[in-house]
Amino acid sequence: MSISIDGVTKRFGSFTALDKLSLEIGSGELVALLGPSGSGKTTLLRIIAGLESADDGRVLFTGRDQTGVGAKDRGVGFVFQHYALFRHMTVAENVAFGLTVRPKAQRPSPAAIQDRVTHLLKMVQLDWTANRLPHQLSGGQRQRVALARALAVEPKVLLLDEPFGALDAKVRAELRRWLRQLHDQTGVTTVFVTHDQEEALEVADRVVVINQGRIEQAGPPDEVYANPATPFVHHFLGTVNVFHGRVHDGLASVGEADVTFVRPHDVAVSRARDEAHPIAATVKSVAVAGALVRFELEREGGARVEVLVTHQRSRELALQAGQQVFIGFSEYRTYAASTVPGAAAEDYAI
Amino acid sequence: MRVLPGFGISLGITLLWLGLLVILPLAALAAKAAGMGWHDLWQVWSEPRVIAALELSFFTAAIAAVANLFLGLLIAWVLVRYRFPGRKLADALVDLPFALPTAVAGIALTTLYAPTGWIGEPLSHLGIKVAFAPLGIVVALVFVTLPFVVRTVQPVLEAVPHEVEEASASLGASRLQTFRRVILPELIPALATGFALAFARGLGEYGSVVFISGNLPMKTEILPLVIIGKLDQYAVPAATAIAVLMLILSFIMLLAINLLQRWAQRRAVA
Repeated sequence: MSISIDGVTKRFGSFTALDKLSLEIGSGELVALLGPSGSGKTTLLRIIAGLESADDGRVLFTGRDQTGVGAKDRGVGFVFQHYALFRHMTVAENVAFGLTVRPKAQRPSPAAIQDRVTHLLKMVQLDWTANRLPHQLSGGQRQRVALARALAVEPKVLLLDEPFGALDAKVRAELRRWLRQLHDQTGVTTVFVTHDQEEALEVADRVVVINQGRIEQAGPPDEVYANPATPFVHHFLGTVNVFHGRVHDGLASVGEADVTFVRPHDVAVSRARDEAHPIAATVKSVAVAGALVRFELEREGGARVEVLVTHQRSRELALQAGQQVFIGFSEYRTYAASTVPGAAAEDYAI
Repeated sequence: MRVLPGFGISLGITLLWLGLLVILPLAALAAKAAGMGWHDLWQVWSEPRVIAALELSFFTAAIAAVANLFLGLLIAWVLVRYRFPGRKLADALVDLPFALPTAVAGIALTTLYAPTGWIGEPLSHLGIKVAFAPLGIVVALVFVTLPFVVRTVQPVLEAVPHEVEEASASLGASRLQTFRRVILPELIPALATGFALAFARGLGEYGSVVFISGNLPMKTEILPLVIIGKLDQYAVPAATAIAVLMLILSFIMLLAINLLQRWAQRRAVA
């Protein structure tokens, strides 16, 4: 089922959570709503679910206006950050809940419900927990139960609000991959909210970056990462080094009207000055950051530059704190300074 | 297991306190009664006047506790779930029956519900007699035990996360189904506790009831009043015997409610 969000506005007092936001979500798509806290992404998800109503604008499911349709009748599956399992019910009773509350005429027989529950619990690899209570499970297991419960009613749309936000890093990475697989199996239109750019880029077919109640950019992960439409998107999707000024032929020039963003892995480091490495800097620290090595450099005047290189490159350079190096940019983007909100706090003048 | 500092002294104070305040007087009571022998005890317990008072006390306390089970749940629900002007005041009013001297409550209720009172007069035209009848006792007990259920349910209801209700709604449950299947099971232990407290309090209540009940032997005389009556006649052993009877019955009842609660919990787990 496709979802159309048509000019939705939502205010809480004087705070505008969503500002005439419009978005089309195709049938069977897996979409990530990505943004900082307070950007309005969760509010949007809750409006799609019918848990919150829009002040203005409409939400349509396959062309049908959902205004005035309550959460009960929208046929959406909703997964909460903190699972929201019914703690006095067993895992099996939790999963069966959506089926057992149906009106008698539409309710499957107890045997059919039992079958469906077993099938779903097998799918989330938790069939052995059927008779346990939620508090006897780990966070990751609880979230899988919550997913099975949401899927039990065969929702036309699956909505997940920061589904992995309360879990530790390892479980999170596992569940991400697993959610992707599950979506490929079921093909249910899925929208999930996250503030973790890595999660959004890794899992989603399409990433929608939201800021201050508006969409900054929407597109496939590689597209938004490689071609950020705005400085906000560029900044939000990973670390950037911010420079005041513009870059000419690899040489930086001062110009207060422009701001250049360079990702840490797009900074080239050399021990000798040449055309490709025109800017002098001093090494402040060298640290292993997992698969890569992070250099902390300092330019004249105190501006810091973060650089990520491969372990091999790091061995070739053999840098130590205090050494002088020269840097250049292999990739960068320049924006008009007026379009960069609040960058001043952490930028580095060229 | 590592024990927190201060365990020895705090446990000591707890046991001393409970011993002095609760166990000592009750033990003295039991000791006194034990000196009477079974035959004498039974003689007092089987007096028709005592049995009638016992039935009345249990009956009225049970009705008042059941009434407050529903009323208390409703009030707790309103106080927790709705925002309205004067909510804080309403919340404070709930505790008033605790603070008010029970005799004052009894006199006030009697004045209101007497056949000449503001409420009693119209009701008497309908043929309903409240004051000087068992119904009056129920009214007094409902008033006195009102805070118990409200105050035990309120914090539990506040702690039910809003998300579980939203989850229930998104799974297609109606408001009633959500209440019955998601919220109510969370409240049952608190409701049982509130009910037990209200019932036990109602059983022993004296001050408010004596004014409104009229104290007719065999009709509207409650068990605590029979004790007082015996004491007035210097029949201390008989008073003791009745007191022990009440103690035993209260104890059995509290135990039963505890077991019931544990059984309900285990059933929820199974």
